[in-house]
Formats: sequence, structure tokens, C-alpha cells
Amino acid sequence: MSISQILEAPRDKQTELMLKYGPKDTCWAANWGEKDEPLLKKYFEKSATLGREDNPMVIEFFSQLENKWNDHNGVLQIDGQTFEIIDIAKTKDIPTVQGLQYCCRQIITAGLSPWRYHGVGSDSREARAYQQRLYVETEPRADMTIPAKGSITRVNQSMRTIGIFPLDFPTITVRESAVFTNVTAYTGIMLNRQVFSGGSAGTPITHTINVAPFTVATDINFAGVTTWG
Amino acid sequence: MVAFKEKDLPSLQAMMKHIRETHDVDMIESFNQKCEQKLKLSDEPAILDNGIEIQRVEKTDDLVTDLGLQQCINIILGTSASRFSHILASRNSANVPPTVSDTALGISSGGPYVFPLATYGWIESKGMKMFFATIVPQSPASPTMSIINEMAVYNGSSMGNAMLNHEVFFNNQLTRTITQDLQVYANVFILSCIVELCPVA
Repeated sequence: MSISQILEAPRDKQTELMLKYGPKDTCWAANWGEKDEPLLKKYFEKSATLGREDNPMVIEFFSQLENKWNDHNGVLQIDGQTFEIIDIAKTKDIPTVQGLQYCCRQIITAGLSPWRYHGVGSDSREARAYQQRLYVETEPRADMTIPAKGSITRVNQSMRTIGIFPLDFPTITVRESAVFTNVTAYTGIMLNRQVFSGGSAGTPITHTINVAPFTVATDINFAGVTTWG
Repeated sequence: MVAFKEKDLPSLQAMMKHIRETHDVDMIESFNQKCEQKLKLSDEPAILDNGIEIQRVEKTDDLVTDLGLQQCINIILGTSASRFSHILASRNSANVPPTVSDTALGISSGGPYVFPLATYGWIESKGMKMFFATIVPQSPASPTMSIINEMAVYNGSSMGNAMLNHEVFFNNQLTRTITQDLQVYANVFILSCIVELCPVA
């Protein structure tokens, strides 16, 4: 057993099952340059015109996040102008039981509220499958159905969500994030919870009000993966 | 796949109707438990809550297809309203293991036979599971319907729609014969499947 395993709080059985057999949830939180907010908005306004399935601009956005995480430049272009990721953190956490139950109901039943809002908070307690809210959430949540505020699309067997948090968002160290059905903090169904607690997730990004925008982007891959051993 | 005696058809239809109208998922779970019981103890009687005895059960653990998962996400995101609505079944003469890239059943010896769930079956969810099932009627519309060894859930009545899952029973198929007097099959089948996003502790 590794030292990190010994130091971690014990996980409940459902969280273990979710990590092993459930959809795989990966999240990146990124700080952008001081003058990049108009370009970010323009990028996703154009992206919205390309549809919500296998959207090439969403694929490129996630590709650049991963580039930056791997110590390369993370650069996007729109209308001949480039803009760049300044800081990034990445984590692999989990969908919640409640979130997947709601997904099943959505698949079977018409008329339920869709996943629509990306929320962030500053609490660092570890993610568990039974959690139903962020613990220290900062409002407002980003409405991903408005192109200037984010994006929610499908790429292959993944659901990809992006929340854009503008430079006038309150000062926060982004340690937790999640996707919700409701706009108000601490309400609605929570699909997943990701925690940027340092260590393998990198240093959590810090946002200071009126300095620069940040984004939180999530890839939830529903393709079944069997972990052996 | 579950086999019942022909005389049980009205009771089975009443059970299906009850589940469709009341969304009685506990009844589905009880049905599934009795099927598991019959599978493990095939020589002992397994009786459903409404008094019907299960004659035979066959089970397989197969897979959800890539296209099926994509359609699930499209429905979740609201980019498609085309929900899973039919079970299609067939008889294939070759033993071809299912793959995630499958889009169609093997129909070399019959089918596809189309069963709309709103008429013949149930479609419900509970927890992180989705339940789908249909009755296979008794009329011998085609002699090959005496054997079924593949099934799948689709979001429409043809194999051109999105296939959610692909279940193959090549080595444990259910068979039934036509009665000489009534010219119907001697058994009624129920085809049932469960799609699970994550196992429950």
C-alpha cells in the first residue's frame, strides 16, 4: 500500500464502485489572460453555431487544456487572435449516485430539467459518490446554455461541459466544482463533484475579482471501462 | 429470456399493463429476482407474485453499444427526443459475440421481430438501472419465432435506429413448439434486460 493510500480518508463502498465501474469524470480548471474574456466568449459563441454533437471547437478546447496540463502551451484562436491558458489544475473524480439516477430518469422520461449550470466552490474535502452539493459554493453558477457563459455538448461517448466565469466573479480559490440542474447555489441535482486538492491535481487555481476570467471544463465518459487487478 | 406456459398469457399481459400504468418498479425487481432464482435452481418451481410459474430462464451479460451510449447522452442533453421504445429480437445461425460497435442484430435465420414497449412491455428506471421488457406473442407469425437467440433495445421500430445494447444467447437460446390443436406456440416468452450505469453497493 502506498503512503498516499494510507493518508487518504477511507472510501465508502459505493464510491469505490463508482470509481471502478462508473462513468469516468475528468475536470480542468484554467485561468486565462487578463484581456481574454471577450475572446473566450466569442470562441464559444462561434462554437455554438457548430452544434452540440462532436463539435470541433469543443474538441480543440479540451485538447488545449490537456496540452497546457502536459507543460506545453495551451493556445486557442478566434478571428485571427490568439489567447492562452495561464494556470491549470486537473482532477479525476466521480459522478454522484444521485446524478446518475437522474440521468437514467432523463433517458426514460421526457420533461425533466436538463443539466445546465456549472458551479464552483472552495472546499477541499474529498469527492464521494453520495455527496449532493458543493460545500462552500460561490455564486453565480455559469449557465452553459448561453454561449457566452459556457457549453454543454457530446463528444463520442462523453458529455463535455464548460463553464465560463467572468473576471467580475468573486475572488476564489477553485477547489471544487460540479454540474447542476438549478441556478441557485446549494439547490438542484448535482451530477458530479470534482476536487482540486493539490498533489496529483496540481495547485488549485486562484481567481481574483476583476483581474482575469477562468473556466471549468468537465469530461464525463460513459464508455464502460473495466479495471483489472 | 423467460418462458411461461401458453395459458399464462392473459395474466402476463395484465402484469405488464399494471407496470406500464403504475410504474410499479418493485414488481419488476421481484420478477427479476424470481428469474435469478429459477436460473440458479432450475429444478425447483419459481412462482411470480401473481401466481404464475416460470418454466425456464436463460441469461447473458452482454454490452451497451457506443451508438447506444451516444443516444443516451443526446437524450440527457436534450439534443434528441427519440427515446428507447422497442425491443427487436432475431434468430442468428452464427455464434457472433457482440461488440460495442454493433448496430444491428444477426438475422440470418429470422427476424427482426419488432416489439413496441408501449404495447407489449415495460420501460422503467430505478436507481442507476433501466429496465426494458416485452412479451413475445404466441401467434406463429413465422416458424422461426420458435427460437430467439438475439435481442436489443432500439429507439425505433427498425434496425436503422440507435441500438442501445446487444444481447446474444447463442449457446443458451430459448425454443418453443407449436401446439397441434390450437396452432399457437406452447410457450410465451418475456424478453427482459437491465442496463446499469454503475453497480450498487
